[in-house]
Amino acid sequence: MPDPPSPSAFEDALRDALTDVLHKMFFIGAFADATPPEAGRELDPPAELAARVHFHGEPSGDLLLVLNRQAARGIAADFLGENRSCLTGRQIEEVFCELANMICGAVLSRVESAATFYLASPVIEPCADNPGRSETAKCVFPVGDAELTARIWMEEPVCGPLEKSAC
Amino acid sequence: MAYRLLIVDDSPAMRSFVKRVIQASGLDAKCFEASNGREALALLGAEWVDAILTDINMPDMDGEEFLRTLATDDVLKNTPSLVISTDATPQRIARMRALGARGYLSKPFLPEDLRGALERIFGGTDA
Repeated sequence: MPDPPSPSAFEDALRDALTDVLHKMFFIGAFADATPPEAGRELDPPAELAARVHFHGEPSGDLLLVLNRQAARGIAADFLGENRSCLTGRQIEEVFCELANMICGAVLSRVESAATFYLASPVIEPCADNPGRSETAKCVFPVGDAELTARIWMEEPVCGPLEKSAC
Repeated sequence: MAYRLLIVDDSPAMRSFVKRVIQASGLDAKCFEASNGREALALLGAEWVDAILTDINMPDMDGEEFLRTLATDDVLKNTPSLVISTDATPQRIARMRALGARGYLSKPFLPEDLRGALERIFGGTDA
C-alpha cells in the first residue's frame, strides 16, 4: 500500500486547486457585472456560508469551504453570468457547493493519482467549525475584500516527513 | 441547424455554467438538461440529441452506470458522449473511455477547452 500523502502535499495541492478553479471557472474580474459589490450587501445576512464535501478513497476525509455571504453572492454572479441582486439564496448555495466540489476533486486528483476516489454531494453547513479536530491542510485565498478559507480533515492520520517512519 | 446537446449533472449551477459557455462560444446549440443518468435516459426516450455531456458523481444513476446503459442500446450507443468531471485521475479517465466516452474534460476547465472538446466530437475525432 502506498504511503499516505503528507500534510505539505495536501497544503500544496489545496493551494494549487483553489487558484486553478477560481481562475478558470469563476472568472473573478473577467466576467464581473457592472453592479458594485455593495449592491448585494443589504440582501445578505452577515453570516458566513460553509459547504462541506465528504470524500472516500485512500485516504478519506472532508473538505470545508467558508466565505462570507456577500462575497459568495459575487462569485455566484460571476459563475452564472447573472446580476448580483437577481440571485436567490438557493442559487448562491448551489454555486458555492459546486465550488467546493470542484476544489475537492482537484485536490484529490493531485494527491491521489494512484487511487479512485468518490465524492459525496456537497452540503451547506450551519456551522463552519469542526471542533475537536485539527485540520490536515488549510488555505486562505483572497476574494475581493473577503477571504475564502478551505480546510481538509483526513479520517486517518497523515504522516509528515519526520513522522513517516513511525507510522 | 442547431446541435442538440444533453447536459447531465446533478448541480443546477454547473448545468447553467456549461450552457452559458456553449452559448458564449458561438456554437448553435439547443440544450436539454437532466440531473442524473436515469432522468437522462427518460429524456433520450423522447428526444434525439447529437451529443451528451455528463458528470460522473450523481445520485440515483451515476455517470458510469449511465454510459454502461447507453452502450447496451443499439441506437443510443452511437451518440457521442463527453464526460465532464472533477476526477482527473488516469484510471478514472481510462475507465470512462472504456465505457464508450468519446471525450473527457476535467474540471476546472477553460471555456475554450469545452468548445474544443465539442468541436473534436463533431469533427469526428476523440476529444
